[in-house]
Amino acid sequence: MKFLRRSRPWVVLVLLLGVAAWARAVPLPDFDPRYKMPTFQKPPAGPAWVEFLDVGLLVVALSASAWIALRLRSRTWMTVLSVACLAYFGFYRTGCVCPIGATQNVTRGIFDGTYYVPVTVIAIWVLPLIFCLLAGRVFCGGVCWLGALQDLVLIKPVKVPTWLQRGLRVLPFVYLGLAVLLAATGAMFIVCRFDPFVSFFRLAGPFVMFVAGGAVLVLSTFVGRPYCRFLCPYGAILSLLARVSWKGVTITPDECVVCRLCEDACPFGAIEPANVEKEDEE
Amino acid sequence: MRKYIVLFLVFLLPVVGGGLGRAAAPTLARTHYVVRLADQIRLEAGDSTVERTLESDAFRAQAGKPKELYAEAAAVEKQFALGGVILGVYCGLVFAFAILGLNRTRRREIYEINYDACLACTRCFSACPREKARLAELTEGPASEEAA
Repeated sequence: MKFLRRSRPWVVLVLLLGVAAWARAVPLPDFDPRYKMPTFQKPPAGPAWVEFLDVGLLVVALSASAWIALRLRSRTWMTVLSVACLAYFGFYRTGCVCPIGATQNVTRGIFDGTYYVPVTVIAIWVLPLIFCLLAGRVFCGGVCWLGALQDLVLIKPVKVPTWLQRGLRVLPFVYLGLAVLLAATGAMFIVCRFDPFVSFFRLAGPFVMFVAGGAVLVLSTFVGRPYCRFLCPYGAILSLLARVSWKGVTITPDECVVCRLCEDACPFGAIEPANVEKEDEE
Repeated sequence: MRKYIVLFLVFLLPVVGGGLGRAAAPTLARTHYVVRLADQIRLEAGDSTVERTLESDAFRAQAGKPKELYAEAAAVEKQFALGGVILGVYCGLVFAFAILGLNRTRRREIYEINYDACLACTRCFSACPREKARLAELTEGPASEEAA
């Protein structure tokens, strides 16, 4: 049982890299020079109820994540929820629409009056922010499928030095600013174009994206959620809102015994040790 | 003295950022397809040996007018000129606040969660001995001394 638990991240990593290799192994079609391109046809839009189902499931998942984090306080159930969200929002719905990319849709909608942003996209963007204001970053913890994928392959977490971590935390804000500028001007949706995991979810994409996604996954085996912590532009917004959230996770509702076990357990360097006694000693 | 250096940096960084953003604006503008196409058409018009691209061929096939394209590209570049400055100032402010954050130390009597870094993964709960005791009490009833 212990062996199975320990080998789980390796199995997931090997499976994902295998999928990437398989997707690249499928040969591209060899067109005859006399081949006539068919006339362009716009595919019919999917049924609207599916989008509303996505919004409904997102609300359910966010509520469940908040309940697990604040009331149930169970890592096991949080993992179960993460895997379920990864399976549905990630692999079944191919990672789109996601709140991270929806930031650009909303920006484009604000700056370009002719750009239509469906109400479901706005809801998918706003809901995790509302939940963050109420209960902290429960979207990242139990719902985000990009985070779940990185969490599943985390084998041996290494502590990132504090100075480096603090420096790298600036990057998501810079990336957010760049994404907003490029979306506002209609240049491109950079977050979607360089989403490291979307090629895994869709089992298709440029070779470079598979390599980039694979590299982030390999990095995730020893650095906890590198994309979420050091690049995710939506995470930048959530980190600001989490500071003023109404309720947030607490290490223990009882008295802390300053045993530092939680600090060792956190792979994201989010636990700050007591420093008063140290200062008094000095 | 250190405080003044930090304050100076905090005011200086957005200004420097704005300047860098303005300088980077033409490069950023090239991410827009209209600007790239206008550059390509301009190149092809000036030098017949320049290899044509699919985009420039499609533009000609649709009888596109280069002057209109150049005007559209100029409008986009103008947007990027302003946007580049705003992005630069914003990035400068981000770095300035990061520096201010480095110079601020909070006094903590116990282990605390840094909420902007916490991803609510709940790993710390399973490591906490107090939490384990609390959960055991919830599931198995009150502590042994009370039962005794």
